[in-house]
Amino acid sequence: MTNIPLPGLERLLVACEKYPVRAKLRKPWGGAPTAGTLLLGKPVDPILAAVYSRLGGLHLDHDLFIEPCDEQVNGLLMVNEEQSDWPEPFRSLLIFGCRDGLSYTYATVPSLADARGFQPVVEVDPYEDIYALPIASNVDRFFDTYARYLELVYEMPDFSEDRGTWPVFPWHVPEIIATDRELMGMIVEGRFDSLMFQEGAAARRGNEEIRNWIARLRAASP
Amino acid sequence: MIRGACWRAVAVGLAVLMVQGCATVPYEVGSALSLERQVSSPGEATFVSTDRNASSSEDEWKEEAGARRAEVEWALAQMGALANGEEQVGTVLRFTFWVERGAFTLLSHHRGVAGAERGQSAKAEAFTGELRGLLTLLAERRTGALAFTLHRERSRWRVDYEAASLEEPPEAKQRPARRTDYPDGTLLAVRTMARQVVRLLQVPEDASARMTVEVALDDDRLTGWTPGPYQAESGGTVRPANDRAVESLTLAVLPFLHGLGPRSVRLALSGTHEGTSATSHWRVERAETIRPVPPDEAVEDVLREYRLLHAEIFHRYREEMVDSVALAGTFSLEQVALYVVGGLVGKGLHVAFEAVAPVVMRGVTRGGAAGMRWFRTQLIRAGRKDQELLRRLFAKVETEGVESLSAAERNELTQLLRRMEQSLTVKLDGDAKKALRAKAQDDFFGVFHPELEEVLRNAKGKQYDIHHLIPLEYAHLFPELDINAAANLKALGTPVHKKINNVWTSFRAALGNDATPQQVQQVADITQRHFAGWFNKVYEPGQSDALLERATAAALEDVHALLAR
Repeated sequence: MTNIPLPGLERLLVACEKYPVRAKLRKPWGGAPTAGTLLLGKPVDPILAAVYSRLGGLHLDHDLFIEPCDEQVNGLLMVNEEQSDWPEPFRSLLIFGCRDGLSYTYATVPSLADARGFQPVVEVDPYEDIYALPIASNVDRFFDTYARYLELVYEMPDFSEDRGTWPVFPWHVPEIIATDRELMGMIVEGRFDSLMFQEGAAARRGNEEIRNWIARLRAASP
Repeated sequence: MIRGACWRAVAVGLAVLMVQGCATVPYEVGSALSLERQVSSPGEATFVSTDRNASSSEDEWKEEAGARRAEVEWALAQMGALANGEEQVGTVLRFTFWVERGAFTLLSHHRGVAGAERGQSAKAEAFTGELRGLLTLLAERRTGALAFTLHRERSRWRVDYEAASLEEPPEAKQRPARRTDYPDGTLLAVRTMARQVVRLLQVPEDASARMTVEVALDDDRLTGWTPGPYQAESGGTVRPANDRAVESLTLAVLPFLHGLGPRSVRLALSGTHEGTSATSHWRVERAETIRPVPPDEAVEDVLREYRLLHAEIFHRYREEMVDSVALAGTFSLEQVALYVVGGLVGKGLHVAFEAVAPVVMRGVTRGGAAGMRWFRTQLIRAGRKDQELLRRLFAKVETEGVESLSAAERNELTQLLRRMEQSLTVKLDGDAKKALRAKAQDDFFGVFHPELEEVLRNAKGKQYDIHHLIPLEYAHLFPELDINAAANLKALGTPVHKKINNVWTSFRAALGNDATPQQVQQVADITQRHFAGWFNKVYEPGQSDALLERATAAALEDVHALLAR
């Protein structure tokens, strides 16, 4: 399965070269988990395994952080251990990245794997009452989506290094997320609902925001 | 031969000026050349330096050579225009300029007369031609105030000059400009003002009169004028001013348009009537810039920064003819916030919005960098759409003045400020929280603690999380707090951040949306009390794990006690 094509990852690496993104790549490690291997009881996604066969981690400065998994450090294992106190269904997610310097986390969803074993990707916001937003139908599509986001940001006519002026990922880029038809199908079917929507009166406002975002995704869906 | 001698006089004069900061060199023009030197009363050069502006690179300096020449020509033309037509021997015209990086800003001019003898024709071109070399050298070497005094002799003008002791005025131009012409709208406005003023001028027969006028300027625009006191000697029938008064007034005011920011020019006019003339003769005796009252020290640092920024944007607009829409695209959030603080508060325009957005106006007027940063934080939460709107509006205000905003644009600005005001007490959305967290991280490691950027990383190379002492979820309870201020941000290793979040989770679970600002502040104090040892510090798991557990337990106990009250 390591020969799975990764056009999304390629696109992201091209974007990192094209734009002034400070990116650090780690060398791949022969001991990286392979497809289907269980990591703390969670099956490793085949595309994620293919990614780790190509590189041992990717760090976009002040931006995307793909956990290192190389001879020096097994960040993939560390981060999943660190978050083992998350409540279900979040504890069952397999974390593989985050936003550098922040607690927003990217994870695959083993329970939503397709027939090939490919798992969709969500962004987890653990700051207050934990919830997750669906981002991509698989790991490579996630990289493709993130590459498109960087392209959008750096091609803005009024682009500024000031991140306070950037569109917020994924909230402000529904048109990018919505190009992933497979993901949109899963959203419409309600397969992410248990990750997105929380119970209780305090969560009402957050749920409303997410519903509005989903509506914008659906409106932007081709 | 004459030219060579003149050059020596200039060189000697300049050398004296450089050393002493002040000198008077009789500047001979016409046929009778004299190298006689007189030293005037010594001036101070405290605020005058010979250093070239440090911000100007060698390339920029070379590129600006043409602009410096244009500035010299402009200064000569202004002095020449006011000197032309002065025939009374003993007339003294004194011009004070601020000179910086080759840019000349007129600060004042005044006219004095001692004697009534009418001299022979003496064209101003004669002295301006010879003064050119001196001004060119001064433009390249001097930063500070320079006063040029023109003495009308029988057949010529003699020129003295000296350094004047003045602090840099806020209206001083920072860079020389090739385009020294006046915009059509400005010319029209100045002439219209002059005609309106002249209609008020009158002198009783065989008597004299005085009047002052204050003309309001903003950048290169005339924004209004007000007549001052009028005094006249008793005499016969009043005589209106003659036609030349309009031209005199226009020539006296126009050179002040080459300046920056809001200011006034006070003109002292004097009129006389003699003989059987049907009209009176009026002159501008003195014209000087009146500056707005200096702001509180608290905002002065920000306003100084704003003025530099404004000078740069206005230069690009006027000199490079970059339109305001293109300029708007280049503003960072800090710059937009500076424009709002400088453009509203610096010009006193915030008063107009106090009814619509009282908290926002209190925020921006709190003073200094704190006010600017508070507003910048509000801009981040306002989102891109409002950021773009504010950029567009303030690009126009900065280049064409607040009066250039259409009724629709003023309404857009009012609505935006109202939206901002209302949002202050509403819980932050997920996207605003994320934008604020990202900015907090950038600021913490990029601005507040750059020394920690490489230190506070975990074993994987990931930067530590930035924690808000007063959490973003309660920002709406503290509308006047800059939630992203340095004092509210702490870098934490992941284990510590998780434990503090657990404390807040227990508080949230108990109170939901009913927490009061006092309770939130008390919990923030509890977290500070128990976890401060790890704030902005490397987290050592082996040493800290047990301590962290104890601190968490104690903090949770304190929160429970607080909730039980």
